[in-house]
Amino acid sequence: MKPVGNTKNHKSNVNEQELLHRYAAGDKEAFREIVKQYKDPLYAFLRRFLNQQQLVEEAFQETFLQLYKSRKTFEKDRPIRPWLFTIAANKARDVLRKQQRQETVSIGSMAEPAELSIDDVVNSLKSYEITPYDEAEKAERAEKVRKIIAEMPENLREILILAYFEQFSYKQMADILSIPIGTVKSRLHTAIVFFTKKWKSTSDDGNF
Amino acid sequence: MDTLTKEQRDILLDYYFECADQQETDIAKELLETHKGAVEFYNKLHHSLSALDHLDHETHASCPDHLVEKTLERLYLHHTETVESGWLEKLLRAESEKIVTRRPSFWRNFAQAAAIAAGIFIIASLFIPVTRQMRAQAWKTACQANLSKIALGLTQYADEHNGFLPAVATKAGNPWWKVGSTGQENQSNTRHLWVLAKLDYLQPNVFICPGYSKGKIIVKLDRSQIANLADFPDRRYITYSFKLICEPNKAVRSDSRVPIMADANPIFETRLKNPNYQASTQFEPIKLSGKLLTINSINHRRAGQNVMFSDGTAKFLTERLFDQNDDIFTVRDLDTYRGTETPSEEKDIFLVP
Repeated sequence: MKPVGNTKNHKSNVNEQELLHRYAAGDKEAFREIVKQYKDPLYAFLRRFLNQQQLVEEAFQETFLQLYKSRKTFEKDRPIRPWLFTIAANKARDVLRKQQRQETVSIGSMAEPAELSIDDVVNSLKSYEITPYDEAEKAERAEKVRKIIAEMPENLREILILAYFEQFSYKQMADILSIPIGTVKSRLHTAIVFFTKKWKSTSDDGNF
Repeated sequence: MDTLTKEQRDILLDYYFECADQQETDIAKELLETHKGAVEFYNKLHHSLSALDHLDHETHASCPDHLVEKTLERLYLHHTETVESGWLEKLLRAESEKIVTRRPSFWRNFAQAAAIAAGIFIIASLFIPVTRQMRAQAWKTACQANLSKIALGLTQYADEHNGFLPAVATKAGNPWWKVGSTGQENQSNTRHLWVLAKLDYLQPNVFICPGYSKGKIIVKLDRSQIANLADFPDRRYITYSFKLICEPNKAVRSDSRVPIMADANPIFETRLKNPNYQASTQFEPIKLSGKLLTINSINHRRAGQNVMFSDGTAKFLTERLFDQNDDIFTVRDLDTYRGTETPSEEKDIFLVP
């Protein structure tokens, strides 16, 4: 069974509804409380998505600033978490684009076509025994996973992170990314194929 | 491994991502209890994706305090600035409403203005040609970056749609020039590309060559506008020409390296730039003259055009020819155009409108 990381029903210690009303009214303390509640999941999401401390910090600050600026338009009856991640996904994309603009234009940086189906890719794995690793192995594997994630096209990366780590529903991901549910599913499948193929080739090279 | 149907596989995936409804959850559980292939698939999927958990090794740290403090500082600063700027605006408004009673000498003002104008004129005459050239080069590079992004979007779309490029229902002989038409019928070759913006594969602004718009920013479309439109609003929003798609079922990604997109086709540009053409139902025939056969795209001052190839590369070409004899902007052996032409063979590249 898939290990559960962040729970889907995020429980806050403070009454969220009340907090949201105070926040919408411009109460700075209520906002501080919101930052306190969501800082860790947001930080983890940005770390996984951007993988560069400077970009993570920029997107983190911009997300909360945007959240504050848009407090008047926020529907107070809706949960805050999907909205926060909508802003965060947009801000993460913005900082990536800003960085790309500053770097040399790379012509022909194409996403590798997903030539295989999920079935083919999953079936090609030799074994599914999970063995314990020592710290050095863990660090090495972490580095390899991070590299694969960094190489993924932006929208595959974000959907994989939202689905796997944040465990949003298809509907929530569709809302966050402003795309139809069908596209969420097909994009997630593509992301799985992309990751699995790369991980398999890395594992084969490294005899994992 | 016992074979799973696509539907069963999808249910297991939904179940794995905890996105299955109750009925799907029951099916998934039953499959995992009774179907050997399902167990195998699920375990391998889990084994493969659980590698992602390594991502959190060393990064499981909670958000550093300094970042929280910095964020809150910025927030409070923003709050204070907003309050202060309200005061500042009031003060400025009050100041601007005051009546100025002292008038400086006309000749003194005139002499000062003339001296400044002369200085500006001299500096401008020295620097304008250089800056113009630099600006053109920057637009050319930015245009290539746009094409590169579009190539990425096309690839991703094709990956997710069995190798097919985005294509709306159309057939050979249909008009391809009505950019921005709002009717039900697909009569514009740009509607295919609009699918990429509509499904969020790409931001609409990447379809605007900065050389065409001369760096001007046009009104940005929000998500609700994008969702309601069937095509780019008008020519200003799509200043590239795309491979003519006549039949959606043939719009597959090419294995060989061929041009699929380029800066605006120069033959039809004058017609499309005319604001009245959008309302027009007729395409007044265009007969190719010697000039129309040789001029380059208007996007980069007729110096050439950026061309995107099916392998995702983008290149600036000073001529319109591909493979030394195929003009990418015309149909072979045709000299009069009515906006409905279709090349007779796949190898004849025709980028429109």
